[in-house]
Amino acid sequence: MNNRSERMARIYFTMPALLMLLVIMAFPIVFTIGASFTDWALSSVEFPQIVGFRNYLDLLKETRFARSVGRMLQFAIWTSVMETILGIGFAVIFNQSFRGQRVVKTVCLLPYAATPIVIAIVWKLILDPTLGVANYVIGMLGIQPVTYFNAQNGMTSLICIETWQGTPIVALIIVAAMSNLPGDCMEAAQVDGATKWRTFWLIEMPLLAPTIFIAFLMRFLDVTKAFDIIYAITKGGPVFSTETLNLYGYLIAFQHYKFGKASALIVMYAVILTIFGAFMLQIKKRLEVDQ
Amino acid sequence: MKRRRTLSRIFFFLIVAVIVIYITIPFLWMVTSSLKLQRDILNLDKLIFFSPTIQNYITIFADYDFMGPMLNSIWIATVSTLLAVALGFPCAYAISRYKMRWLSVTILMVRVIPAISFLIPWYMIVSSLGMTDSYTAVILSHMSASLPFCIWIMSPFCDSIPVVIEESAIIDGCTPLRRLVSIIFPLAVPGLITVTIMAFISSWNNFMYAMVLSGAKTRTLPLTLYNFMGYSFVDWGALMAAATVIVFPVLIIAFSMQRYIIKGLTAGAVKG
Amino acid sequence: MKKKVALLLTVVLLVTMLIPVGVAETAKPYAGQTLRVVLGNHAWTTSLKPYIPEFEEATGMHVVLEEYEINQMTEKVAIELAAKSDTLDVWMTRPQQDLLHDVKSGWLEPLNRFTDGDEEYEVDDFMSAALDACSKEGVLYGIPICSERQLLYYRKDLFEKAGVKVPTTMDELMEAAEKLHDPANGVYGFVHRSLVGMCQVVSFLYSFGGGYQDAEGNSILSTPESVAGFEYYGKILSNYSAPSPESLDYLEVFALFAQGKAAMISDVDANYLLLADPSATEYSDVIGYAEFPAGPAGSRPINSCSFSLSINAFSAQKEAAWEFIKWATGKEINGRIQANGAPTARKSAWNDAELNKNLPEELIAVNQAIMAVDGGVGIDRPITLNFNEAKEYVNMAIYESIVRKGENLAEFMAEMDGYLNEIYANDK
Repeated sequence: MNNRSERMARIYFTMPALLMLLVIMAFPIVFTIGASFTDWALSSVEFPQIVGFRNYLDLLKETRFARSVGRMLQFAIWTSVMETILGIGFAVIFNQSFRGQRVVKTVCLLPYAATPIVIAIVWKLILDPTLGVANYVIGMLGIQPVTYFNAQNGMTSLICIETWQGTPIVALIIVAAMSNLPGDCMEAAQVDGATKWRTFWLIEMPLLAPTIFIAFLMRFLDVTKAFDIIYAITKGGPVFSTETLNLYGYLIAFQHYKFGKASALIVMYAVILTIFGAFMLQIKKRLEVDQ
Repeated sequence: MKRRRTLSRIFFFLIVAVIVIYITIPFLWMVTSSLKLQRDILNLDKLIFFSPTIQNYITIFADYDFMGPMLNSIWIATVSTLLAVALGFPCAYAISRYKMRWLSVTILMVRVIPAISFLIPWYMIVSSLGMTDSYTAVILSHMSASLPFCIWIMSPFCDSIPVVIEESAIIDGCTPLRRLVSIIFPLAVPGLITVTIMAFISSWNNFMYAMVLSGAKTRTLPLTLYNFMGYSFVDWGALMAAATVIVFPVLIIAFSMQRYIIKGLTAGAVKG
Repeated sequence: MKKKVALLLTVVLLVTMLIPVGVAETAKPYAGQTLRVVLGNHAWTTSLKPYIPEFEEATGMHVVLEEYEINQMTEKVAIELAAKSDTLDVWMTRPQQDLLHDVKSGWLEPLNRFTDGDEEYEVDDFMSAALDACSKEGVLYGIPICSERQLLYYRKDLFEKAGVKVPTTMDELMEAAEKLHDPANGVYGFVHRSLVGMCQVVSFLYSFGGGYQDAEGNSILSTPESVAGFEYYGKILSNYSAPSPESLDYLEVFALFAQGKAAMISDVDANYLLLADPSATEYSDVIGYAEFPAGPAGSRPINSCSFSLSINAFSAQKEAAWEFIKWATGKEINGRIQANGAPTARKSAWNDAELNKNLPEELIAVNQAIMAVDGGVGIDRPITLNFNEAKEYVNMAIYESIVRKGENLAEFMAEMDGYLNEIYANDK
C-alpha cells in the first residue's frame, strides 16, 4: 500500500514538470533536428527538400564556421580563466573580516542581477572611441586613445566586459566555500607557526580547489552561450572578428534566412555543449566523491 | 609594529575600494548620465560635477510608452517564475527522494542546450496556433529556462533536508503529497525563495525570447530599450534613464535578498 | 427620341439612387477594424505618429503601431511572414534590399490596383527613381516614404579662418581636409560613417566611375574605377578623420559634428535635423551645404529611396491597409512630414516652398541642383536576393580600405568580388 503510493508519487510529482518540458522543449528539439536535414530557406518558395547531411558538410567545410567555433572557445576560455583568477583574488579580500563586508558582498551581486542588454549598452557608450569616458580618462593619463571594438580589440573588449560581469559571482561562490572550511585545521596550522600565506596555499587552496573548478566549469558553459552582450555591442563584427558560434547561428537564421543550415549549426552547437556538460557532470561527481 | 598594521589596513581598504569602484563604475556612469542633458554627457569636463535634471525620465515616460512594457515585464516574469517553481519543486523533491539520477542528468542536459535552438520552432508553433503576441507564448518560453533551473537548484536543497524528519510521518501513514506540503515545504522555504528570486531576475533580463515572440502588446523592457537605439536615437540621456529604470527593480531585489542569492549561486549553478 | 429620354432618366434615377448608398459606404467602410502597422525607428515614423489619431477619427479604424529598431523590425517581420502570419497588415520595407527577396517569397501585395486611376493620390508625383526601387517588372510593391541625397556638410567658420575654398572636386576635398585637420585642437578634417555606411560610401565609388554592381548584377569592387574610389576613401579617412575611422558609426559622426569636432562630413539631407538643426547643435548658424564633390566621373552622389510602406500579402484586410498607406503617403500628410524636416519622395512636396521653409536655403539649393538634372544615382546598395550576406563582404571591403590606408587594395577587392559573385549567382 505504502510502496504503491510512493511509486505513484514519483509519477505525479514529476509528471507536470516533465510534460511541460516535453511541450516547450522536446518538440522544438525534434523539429530542429528534422529541419537540419532540409534546405528550408525563407527565400525559396518551394517546399523544403530533404538534403541529407549537406548542411552539416557545408558548415564543416566553411572556414567561417570553424572560426566561429574557435572564437566561442577563445571567448569562453579566456573569460572563465580570468574570472577564476580575479575571483580568487577578490575572495581572499572579501574573506577578511572588515567593516562594510556585507555591503561589498551585496555590490558583487549588481553585475549578476543587471540586465545584459543594459550592461552592453552602458559599456558600449563608455568605451566609445571618440565620445566615451574611458578614452577621456586614459587621455588624461597621457595614453593614446584606444578603439575598443575594432577587428583587433573587439574580442578582448568583449572578454573584459563578460569578465567584469562574472568575476563577482565566482568570488562570492569561493567566499562561501571559504567560510565552510573547517576552522580548526587552519588554527592548528597557524599554531604550528605557518604563515598566513603558506596556510592559504598549502591548506585552504587544496580544500577549495573542487569548488573553484566547478565554478570555473559552470562559467565556461554559461559563457559559451553568451549572446545578448555580443549582439548588442558588435553583432559579431567588424569583419566577423567577434562572431561566436551563437552569433553565427543567429545570423544564418534571422539575417540570411537559411533555417535549414541554421538548424544544422544549432544541432552541432548543442552537441558540443552537451559534451562539455557531460564532461562537467563527470568531474563534478568525481570531486564530490573525493570530498 | 602598530604603524605597520595601520598602513596595511589602509592598503587593504584601498584594494577593497578599487574592487568596489571596478564593479560599480558602469552603474555610476549610467545613473549620472541619466540625470544629465545630452550636451553635458558629451562634455567630459562635466563628468562628475553637473546640474542634475530629471528631464530624461519625463521624456521616456511621456514620449515613449514605457509603462506598458514595464507592466508586461512584471507580469511575464512573475507568472513564469511562479509556475516554474510550482511545477519544479515537486519534481526536484522526487528526484532527490527517489534518487532519480537519469532525470537529473536529463535536466542538466536540457539546461545546456543553447536558447537559439528554440526560437524558430517556437515561432512556427505559436503562429500556427494564432498565439503570436500572447502572454502565454512569452511566459512558456521563459519557463523553458526557469523550469529546468528551478529543478536543478531545488534538488540539492531537498537533498539537504534529512530523510529522518519524514520517517515518522511515513509510519503514521502520511501520503507523499501530505508530506511534501506539510513537512518538506516549510523546510524548503529558504530554497524556494532563492530559486524564485533567481528565476525572476533571469526572466526579467531575458532579451532573446522576447525579441522573437513578443509583439506590441507583450513587449518587455529589455526589448524596448534595445529598440531605443534606433536610427534617429542619439539621446544618450534618455537611453540611460531607460536603462536605469530597467535595472532598478532587479538591483533592489539583489540588495534586499542578497543572502538568498548567494546561497543559490553556491547551490550549484551560475545564472539561469 | 422618347426612348433615349427614358433611358437617360433611368440612368439618372439609378445614379441618384446609388449616390447616397455610395457615400455611406465610402465614409467609414472599415470602421471598427484594427490595423497592425510595424514601423522602424526613423524620423519619418516619429513625424507621422502624432497624426495617427486623425486617421483613426476619420475612418473609425484602430491602428496598433509597433516601432522597432530597423534591423530588428526586418528580422521580426521576416519570421512572422515565414509563418505566413496574417496578423500583420502594413510594414516598413527597405525596397533596395528587401524587395527581391520579399517578392520572391510572395510576401508583398501588388499595389497597382489601388494606385491606378486615383488622380487625387497621384502616384506619379513620387520621384521616378524611388518608384523604380519599389517596383519589380512593372509591378509596384511599396510606396516610398522618404528620399535622400548625399551632400557635403561643412563648417563655414573654420573654412573662413583657414582661408580654404569649399571643395567641388575630390582633389579639393582631400586638400581641404588636410588643411582643416587639426587634431591637437580637437578638429578633424573629414569624418564619415564607415561602420554601417555602405549606402553612403558608394557615392565615392560612383564619382570615381565605379560602384558595387554592374548592370548585370556582377560585383565590380575590383574594377580600376572602384578600386580608385576605395583608395581615395581609405586615404582621406585614415589621414584626416577622427581616431579609429574604420569603426565610426553614424551616432558618433553625428555627435562629433554636433560638437563642432568635424570640419566636414558627408551625409544625406534626410539627416539634417540630427546634424545641423539648431536643436541638434550650437553651430547651426555656421554650417554650410555643398554639392557632393566631383570625381573623375563627375559628382555622382546617391539620390535614393531607402524606405517604403508595403502591404502583407497574407493580410485579411488589404483594402483597409491601403487606406492607411494612402492616408500616410497622401499629399496632405506627406506635406506635413516634409515640413517637419523629414525629406519625402513626393516631387510636389519639394516644389512647395511653404513646406520647405524650415530647411536652410542653401540645403534646398543643393537639393534642387541634384534633382533638377535628375542627378545622383538611385541605387545605393547591392541589389540581391541575399542582401544580408552580400552586406557582410561589402562592409569588409570598406573596413579594409581604411585599415590599409587606401593602399594595396586591388587584390583584396578581387577576392571580395569572388565571394560576392558567388552570392549573386543565386539571383540569376
